[in-house]
Amino acid sequence: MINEKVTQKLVQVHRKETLSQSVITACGIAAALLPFLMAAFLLVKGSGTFWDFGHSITEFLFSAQWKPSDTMEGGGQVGAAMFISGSLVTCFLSLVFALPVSLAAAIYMSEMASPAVQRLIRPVVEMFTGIPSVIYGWVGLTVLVPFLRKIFPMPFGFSVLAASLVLAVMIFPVITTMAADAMLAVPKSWRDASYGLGANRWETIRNVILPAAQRGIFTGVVLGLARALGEALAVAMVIGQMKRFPTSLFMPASTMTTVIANDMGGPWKAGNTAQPCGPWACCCL
Amino acid sequence: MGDIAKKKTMDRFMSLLFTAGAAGSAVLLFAFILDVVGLGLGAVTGDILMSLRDMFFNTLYLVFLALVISALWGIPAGIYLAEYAQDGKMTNWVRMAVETLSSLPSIVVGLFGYLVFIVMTGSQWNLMAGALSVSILTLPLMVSVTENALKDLPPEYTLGSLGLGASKWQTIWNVLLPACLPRIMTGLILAAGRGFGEAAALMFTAGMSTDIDWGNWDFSSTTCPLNPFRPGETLALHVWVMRTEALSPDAAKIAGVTSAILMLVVVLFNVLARYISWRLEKKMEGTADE
Amino acid sequence: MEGGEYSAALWTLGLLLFVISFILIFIIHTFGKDPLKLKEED
Repeated sequence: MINEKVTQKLVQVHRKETLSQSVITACGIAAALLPFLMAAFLLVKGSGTFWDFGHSITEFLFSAQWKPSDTMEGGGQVGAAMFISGSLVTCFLSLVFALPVSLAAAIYMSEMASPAVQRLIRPVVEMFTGIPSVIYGWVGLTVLVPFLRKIFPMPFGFSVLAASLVLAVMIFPVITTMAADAMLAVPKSWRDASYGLGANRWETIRNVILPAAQRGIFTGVVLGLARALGEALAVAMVIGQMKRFPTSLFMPASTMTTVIANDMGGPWKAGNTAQPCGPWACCCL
Repeated sequence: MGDIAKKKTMDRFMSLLFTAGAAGSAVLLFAFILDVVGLGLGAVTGDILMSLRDMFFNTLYLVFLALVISALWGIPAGIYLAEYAQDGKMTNWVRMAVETLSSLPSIVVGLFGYLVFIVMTGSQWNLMAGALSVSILTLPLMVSVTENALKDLPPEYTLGSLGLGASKWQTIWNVLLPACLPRIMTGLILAAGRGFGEAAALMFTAGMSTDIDWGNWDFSSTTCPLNPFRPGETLALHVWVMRTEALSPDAAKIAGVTSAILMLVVVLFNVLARYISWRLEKKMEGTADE
Repeated sequence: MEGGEYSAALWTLGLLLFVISFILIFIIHTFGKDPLKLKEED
């Protein structure tokens, strides 16, 4: 009888074991498949312009005529070049603004600050990566835009410059933390060797630390760039969202993300998207 | 000797430059916080807080749902990576694939969420769709936190448990996971912080309106607060919605207060998570002295 | 605006964003590997 109980318990445990293993493995594999699932869906939905409406990829990427028609029959133009260049210009500019300051701060943090200051600054900078983007946008809207309008000859204040500055502030913590991490990872022996050979601090930084950290710095830059390209709401709040090319620093423009944020989700009537029905859709423009 | 003098000046100049850069950015960031929190809190009135009440509740509810989803999915996934998957290229790819989820632009995740949870199910904008979209963004965090926590455990935990005759699952459930609980909680707090601040992913999933009737407890109605299948604007999204009215003093105040609240909550979560990790480290150091 | 071509174009923009992000993430993973590797090469 005791044997029966024991066998029963063993069978139970074994069942739990196989069950738990399957569930866990399923969760793991499913999580890894999720990005590909997303890619598949977006691919199908996004290629409608090419399949259903017969536009070409070159037109989409390079043509400057953006006049898509509102109907199912098509016949409009879908040149998204102005948005693409809007994104590229604002993001490139934001890197130009942020990179020097980021590097300076990172070098300061890793090479010049006392350990106490370091322990204080690092968490603070890291924390800034987590601040919601709408807050950056709001500060940009209420502080930066009026300020820019005052000191520069721009009609609205909403401009490519404003967007680039806001993005620069957003990606500054990203680049700084990665660069500082990379610099701090350089072994102390390398620094000692450099000083031992008679180099001063700047020479050590330039010839030893920076080259050694360049991968981490590069990662930080690309990460910052990715964040800037993907940013929608903060940019939308300060860039003015005029559908034109970013020809001037001081004039409004649009980016890929802002046009999506602004023009999508209106009250749909027909078309290949089902719409949220009911009074809400009409009220929330 | 002129050479050395030149090098010295260069060194001093660059040091000055770097300090200036660091100091300048510190001042800027400080001013930023001051602006948001100071102006925001300065404009707080009872009325404004009341009008934000619904959105605050929405945000809490949505974050809660998102945490549940990403915990239920992410923790097992993390266990998989730490305990069941073999070390190798395949596993590295799995890890990388999961990580990419968190680096995607939130508006893209929002588009996907809109496509799958709203359009393809034919529903209205609802909180659940928003929670699912946010959980896509926080999933990688839970996975990596769980995996790292498990991997950092001393092997004695596993060996001891197996030595006592426990099965693998029993070991994980009764010994390893409880030991990882503080770190997993830290991950949850960080994920909550992220969810609180999300807006772009929620624009087309949870919607930009909110209509709650606090007296209504009929779960299937769209005005019942606890119904997750109703539209629900969150705090962060509210700031966006207010943008078009930045010139009217009222809207500006509301947005300012909302921003201040958001900032404080996010900072609070961050600090909390750090504090727990710090306490944890001290505990670990303590036992090492035995 | 109504559905149809406009919405399709916007979705294509979304797809473009997704593709660009994917490429950037891939670049990060390929080129930004651990500085620990440098240590091993010592």
